[in-house]
Amino acid sequence: MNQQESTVKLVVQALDASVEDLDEDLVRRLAAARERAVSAMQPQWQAAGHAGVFHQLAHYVAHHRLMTSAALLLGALLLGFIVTQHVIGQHQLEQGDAFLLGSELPPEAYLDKGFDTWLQQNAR
Amino acid sequence: MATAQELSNFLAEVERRAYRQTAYAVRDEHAALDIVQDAMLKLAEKYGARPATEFPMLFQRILQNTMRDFWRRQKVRNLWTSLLSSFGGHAAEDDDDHDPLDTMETGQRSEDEPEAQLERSQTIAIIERAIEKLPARQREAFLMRYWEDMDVAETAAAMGCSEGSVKTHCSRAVHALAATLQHYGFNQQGLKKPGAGS
Repeated sequence: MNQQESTVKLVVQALDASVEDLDEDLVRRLAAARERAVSAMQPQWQAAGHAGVFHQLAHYVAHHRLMTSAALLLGALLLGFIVTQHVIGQHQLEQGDAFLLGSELPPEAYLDKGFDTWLQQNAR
Repeated sequence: MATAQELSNFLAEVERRAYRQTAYAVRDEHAALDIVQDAMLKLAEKYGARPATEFPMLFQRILQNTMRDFWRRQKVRNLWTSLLSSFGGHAAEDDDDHDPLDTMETGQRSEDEPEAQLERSQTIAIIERAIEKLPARQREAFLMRYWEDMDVAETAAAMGCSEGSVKTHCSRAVHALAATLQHYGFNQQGLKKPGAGS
């Protein structure tokens, strides 16, 4: 290591050490300033077009966890209801198919509009 | 586009160094804090939509410009102060030779703390004063290039000058700092000082 490099190293070490020794109150004020700056960034997202929509959504989720959880739960319940209805409907269809196939009359007979009239006349 | 979290992380990483850097330049701790706050806000408001990789260069550029604005305002204020004082007598003459470095806090610890701690803080104070005494452009180049670890191109972009100028400023700054360190008898081995010379 030449003299220039060692000088740089020593100075950078001292500068790093000086940062560690910063006053607590000052560190807090810097952190508060950082938070203000980050919150000032938000309007930028609205002007950022489509990419901003996702960031807004992510920000909304981060800041409204209760609302997001409720919405997710409601969505899950709705999805469950739809799936259940679908399964029940499927079961009823299967039962109907089994009834038609198991009966003595062919399925076409039930579609024939004059069948009921013919059946009543024959029953007499 | 950077997220709020990326901006927050970046600022958390650089804010203390930015404060020190500004304090070396303006030699006023309150003004330094104001300048860093302004620079943070400007970065967030105007460049928050830029990729996070551009933040270091952008922030440094904003910081340097905000410092220059501060100096311009100071210059105007000093002009008015000197004009008014010339009408108001010579009461302020005693302060003309006052060097802020003479009374500036050096961060030295009280006497009851361990000797090593005291030596360390003295070493830091000497180096900080050496940094403060550098010409502004040399100090900017040195701090960005070596402390902020920016490359020559980024430093040049942040300073608004050529890469050659950055190299020249850095080289001169390193030579000046090396001369100061030698003057104080540092052995270039790190923060442990072998005992200050005169």
